[in-house]
Amino acid sequence: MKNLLSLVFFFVLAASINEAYAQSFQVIVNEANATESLSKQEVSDIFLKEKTKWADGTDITPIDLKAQSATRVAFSVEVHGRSVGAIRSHWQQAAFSGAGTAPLERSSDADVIEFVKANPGAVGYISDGTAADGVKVLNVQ
Amino acid sequence: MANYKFTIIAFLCAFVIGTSSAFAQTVWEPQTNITGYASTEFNYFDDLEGYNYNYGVAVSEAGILINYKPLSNLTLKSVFVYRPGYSFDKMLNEVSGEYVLNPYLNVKVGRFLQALSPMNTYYYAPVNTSATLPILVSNNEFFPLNIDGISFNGSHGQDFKFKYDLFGGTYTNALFKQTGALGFFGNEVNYFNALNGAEPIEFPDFRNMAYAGTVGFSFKNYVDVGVGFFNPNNEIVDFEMTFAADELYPGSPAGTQVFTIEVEKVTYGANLKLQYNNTKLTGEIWKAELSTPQADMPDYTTFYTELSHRINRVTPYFRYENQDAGALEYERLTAGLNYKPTFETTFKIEYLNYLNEADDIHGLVAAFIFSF
Repeated sequence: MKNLLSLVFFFVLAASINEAYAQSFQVIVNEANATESLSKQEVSDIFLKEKTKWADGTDITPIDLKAQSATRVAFSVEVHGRSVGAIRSHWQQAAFSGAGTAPLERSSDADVIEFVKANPGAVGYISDGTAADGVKVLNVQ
Repeated sequence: MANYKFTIIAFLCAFVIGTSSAFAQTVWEPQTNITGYASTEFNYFDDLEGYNYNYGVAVSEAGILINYKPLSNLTLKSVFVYRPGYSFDKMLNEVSGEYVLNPYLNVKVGRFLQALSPMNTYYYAPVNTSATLPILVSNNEFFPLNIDGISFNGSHGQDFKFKYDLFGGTYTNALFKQTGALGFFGNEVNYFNALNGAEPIEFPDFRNMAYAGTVGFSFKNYVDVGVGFFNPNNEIVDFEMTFAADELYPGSPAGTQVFTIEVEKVTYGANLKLQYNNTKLTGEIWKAELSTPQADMPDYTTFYTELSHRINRVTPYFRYENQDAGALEYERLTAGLNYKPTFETTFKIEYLNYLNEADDIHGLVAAFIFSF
């Protein structure tokens, strides 16, 4: 019994270790958006669709990168504090329970920038090294 | 015709109110979301009377969800879930369209999971933390799983939110549908009734009209409370009684007689969710008042509470349930672990203990779920 409890303890411990990522993304919005900065919690709430309006009342439209993207992996851990898989599970749960659907996805930084340029309420994230031409980069604390 | 009056009025209201759509995206693009799962379940019970085996393994659920959003204010949803022994009608859990009339009012038409109990909307295996559904949901003694009809629902507020859902339509009686590898879950009432010497209850698959509603408040993710009611038309129930020779009158033969009764039923209940970081406490209490033209019947009550705490990929959970089904009362304790290493794989293992004066049952359930 003692061995079994030890096994369960180590199993729980190993499964609960989180990897740490340095911030390697920039959060972008449409140039017409008056917002200058957001907290990580606000960004998380936006991408989980728990915060749905900008300060001026405009609807927020978050846009994600594909699940395989290294930028999304870093964004997910840094902003949500959870893995991409956990966030996908969150959206699967929301879809089945009728609580909502996941944000749209794009496969590249260029596609995210194009989407944000075309949609005044959009917010996305791109890799740190990508030039954010034609969009506004937010300060995320 | 009278049975359809509510649905027709509801439809007319929806069209009279009109639309005022808000388009968030300058250029809308249709969205399709497909997700699904297959759950293989192992059941073991230490001592089950009348079952050929006390352990078994089966594909207990396999489901697919398709969401299609052709317009920013229209969502079409269908969910089909295979369960062993279910008819096609029972497996077609949802097929509905929901139209956002304005930020405070959505209209949903079709077949949908009713939202009276938050746990009822967590019916599907990857969504439910535990490997088994609460008895409240699996037995359908208080409300059905889904409704064919119309729902007016919406919410107001961001951090502090008011929510409502008023719906009506036709439901199919799905009382005591057996689930799990052994088909024991959903059968508890008849099982314990048989042990206590009572007659088993057989409910025909009738269709009936009902109207229902729920209102609730939430504050961010921390607090969520709600109340609801379910009011069906009188249910026509056949029940069978077996008589021994001379039991009815001197010289009466042994035999079985079927009685038909009309049952008036109103159910109401409340739910609560408290969450702080990764710790979550949920609970629901429901009561069903039953009567026939001849006499009052004992009320049914149910209560459950579930505590869970997520530690990254592992979520230990504990649930207590108390079920008072008229003359039969029993409790169930459940303790388990949910381990989700990736989105695609989930493993759940749990211990169950049923407590009833006729018998205590100890069980083990393990479920392996693939998601996509």
